[in-house]
Amino acid sequence: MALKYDFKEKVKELKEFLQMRGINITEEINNIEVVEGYDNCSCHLTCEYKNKIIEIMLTNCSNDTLSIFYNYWHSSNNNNFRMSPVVSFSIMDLSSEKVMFGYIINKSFYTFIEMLNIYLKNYKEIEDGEVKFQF
Amino acid sequence: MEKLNFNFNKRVERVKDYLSTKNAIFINEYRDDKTIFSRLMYIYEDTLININILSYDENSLTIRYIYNDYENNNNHQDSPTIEFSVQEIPAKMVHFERIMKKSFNFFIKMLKLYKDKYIR
Repeated sequence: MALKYDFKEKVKELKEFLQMRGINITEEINNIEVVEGYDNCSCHLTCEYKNKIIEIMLTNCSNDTLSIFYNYWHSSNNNNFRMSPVVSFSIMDLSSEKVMFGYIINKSFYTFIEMLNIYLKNYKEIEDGEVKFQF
Repeated sequence: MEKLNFNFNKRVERVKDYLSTKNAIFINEYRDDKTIFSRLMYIYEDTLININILSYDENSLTIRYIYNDYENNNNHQDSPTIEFSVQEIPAKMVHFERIMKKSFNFFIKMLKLYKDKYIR
């Protein structure tokens, strides 16, 4: 089933939102295909926010809605592949209508950033190979 | 079933023990011994949360805490999900218990922030 909105336009709106807030997009991977008659779209953005790498993924959810996923992988930021925490926040089934889409993007992004800030404030590094997690 | 160098069931029981001290109400558990996976469902302060525990490799585990707004409010539009997970936690009980407790408490902080700030 074809989407009732222009997915590329939603990606553009998301990128404009991020760029207006000084967020640097370092990588973008787009995948737009039709699978068994259904549009299957995704855009994966790797971003830098205050020297932290965050991943943002936008996908179609239904033919007139989208989903957005925010992720912070500790391993991507600290090269620590042991015991890696992941902070995730997502919104499913968000409206493609421009005003509502912008409103939810704004609200969800800042909620995720606040969650991330709590995590970063409370996290302490591993010292001398010994487990020293502090949340 | 993968051969583990630790007792998976004991780790799951330790999570349950800890949550009982936090006044979380146990709802149910789904267990898949083939993939070494346990999903615990709890009510914590009137909120339904899921806790997934799975083996990462033969010496470590992953724990994942999940809040789905649609499960709590039966609202599928603009539906938020909050997740916090820690992968590859050493299975040694003293480490596992420490990380499990810390990660649960951090997840609850995320949840409280969401409830306070994210006005639908």
